[in-house]
Amino acid sequence: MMLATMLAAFVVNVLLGLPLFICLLLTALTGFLFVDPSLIARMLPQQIFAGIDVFSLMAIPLFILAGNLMNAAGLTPRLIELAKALVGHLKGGLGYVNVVSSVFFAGVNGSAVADTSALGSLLVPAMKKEGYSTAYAAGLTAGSSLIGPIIPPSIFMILYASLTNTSVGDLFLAGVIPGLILGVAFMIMNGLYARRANLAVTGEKPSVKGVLVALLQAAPALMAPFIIVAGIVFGFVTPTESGALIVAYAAAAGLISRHLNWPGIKSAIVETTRLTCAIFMIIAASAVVSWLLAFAQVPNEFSGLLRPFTDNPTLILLLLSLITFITGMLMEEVSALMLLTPVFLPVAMQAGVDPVHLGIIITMNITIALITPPMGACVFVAAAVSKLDLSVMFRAIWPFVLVALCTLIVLILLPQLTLFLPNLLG
Amino acid sequence: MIDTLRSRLSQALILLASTLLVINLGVLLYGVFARYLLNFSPIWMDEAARYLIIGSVMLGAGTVYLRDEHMRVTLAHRFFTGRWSTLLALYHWLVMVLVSAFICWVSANYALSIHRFITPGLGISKSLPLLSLPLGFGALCLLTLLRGPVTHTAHTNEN
Repeated sequence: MMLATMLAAFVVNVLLGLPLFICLLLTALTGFLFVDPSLIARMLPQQIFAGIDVFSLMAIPLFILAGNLMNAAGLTPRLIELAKALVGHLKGGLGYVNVVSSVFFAGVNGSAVADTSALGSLLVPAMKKEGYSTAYAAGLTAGSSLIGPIIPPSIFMILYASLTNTSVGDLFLAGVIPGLILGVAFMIMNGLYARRANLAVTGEKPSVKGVLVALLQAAPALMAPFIIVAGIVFGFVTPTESGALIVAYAAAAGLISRHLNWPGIKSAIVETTRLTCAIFMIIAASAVVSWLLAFAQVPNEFSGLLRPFTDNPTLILLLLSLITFITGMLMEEVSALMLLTPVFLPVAMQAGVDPVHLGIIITMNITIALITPPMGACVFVAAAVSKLDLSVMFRAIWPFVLVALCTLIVLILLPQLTLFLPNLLG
Repeated sequence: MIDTLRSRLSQALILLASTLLVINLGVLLYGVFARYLLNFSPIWMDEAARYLIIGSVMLGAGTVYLRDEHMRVTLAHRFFTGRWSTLLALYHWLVMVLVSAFICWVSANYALSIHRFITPGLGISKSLPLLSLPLGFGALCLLTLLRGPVTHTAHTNEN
């Protein structure tokens, strides 16, 4: 009864368009009425505060700020130039450029929505000119942007780590191979599309010097993920300190290249503050709902339901993925991650799933939700930048969802792909 | 008059929130610098960084609401037109004002009730960081009150 009422309160308010953190707080207040209303006075403020009083979460605004500073310094367009130099001359070149740029962008901002917006506005018009259908160009942009939150740095992974006490360094390392596999999957898809659409080869094969020049110009932005991962994995800095260092690095790189000025810095800081507010208010409100669910023994009951399957970790991961996929279609990603992780963790632990592997599978699921109708933020952004009708976009995105789901299944079946780097270096 | 007041308050809050974010960055960089170059780890750094971000988030929440940048689903606006749209705006306004005012009140009471507890790192009363909650939700309530029950589309990109 309590769960049904909480769910109804949440769904109704979400559909009525209230901010998600208010929907979550209203859901929590409804839950408190069932559990014990006298707890509100103490537990509501305590849990709101405790939800964001986590040191590792402090890395999130810093990684966002670093990405914003690099954008303000004009470092990110150089990544697209490098991608063009590497793969632009192939048949279906711009499609490959789109995917490879997403891989490079992933190391800079880690946000799929920002990636879709930045790449979509630049590459979709160019792809249309070269004979790609608008729907395909927009779909590929949204689809390949999923690589952003999987290759480090990743906000979703930091959130997962803060909820499960898993090493952020291990998660970051574990994300590299899945992110690259996803990139390769989209490139294969693009190759097949280019052959079927019989696209012309437009770009010229670049000289070695041309590639080296592009590489040199993109080097400051390309270095960012290596500095982050190396600093954390080799134990020099915590994820949060690595965030601070990467901000200093981005500012220094921008100032040395003389592309970053005071208005750019100010705008990057204010934009980061606003985005941080939006994310952290959801984290804080989700923490209250998570606490209530734990108080009402929901994770234990859920574990009990799935207990018959716990001798098969693959089946458990497939079941959890199915639940996350459906939830992700209907719910915003940060709140879905915050609410599902504490419920899933005991079941996965019982089944003997490695928490790092679980983290990557949940991150991947939550990320796929960014392109699934009807709530996928990247689909909306891709449709907007491509000036495409939303209903067309919703139909066009499914092949890309399918590719991402196939990659997810490969990662579930072969945990070694995810755990290889953490085992080697972690 | 009200518009000016709301706009000034909103600008002041986001400026303050951004300043806290920058101070947080400074604290973290100082922590790394101190550990590797001065060979000591300030025990207050961890706590200061956390409280600064919490303060930043709470102070900025109202401005972010005015700019319609809190994540939400905008499906309802397509189906609610005319009088229904006005009713929806009134519902949003009432819920935002009531919930934020309630949390402001509850969290103020809670923050003041634990003033005797001292934080281990900074050695300050625990009430101080917790007061960012009533301040933040109070500011959110005030800004929402000043905005009135209007649809967000008319106020997007305020400031």
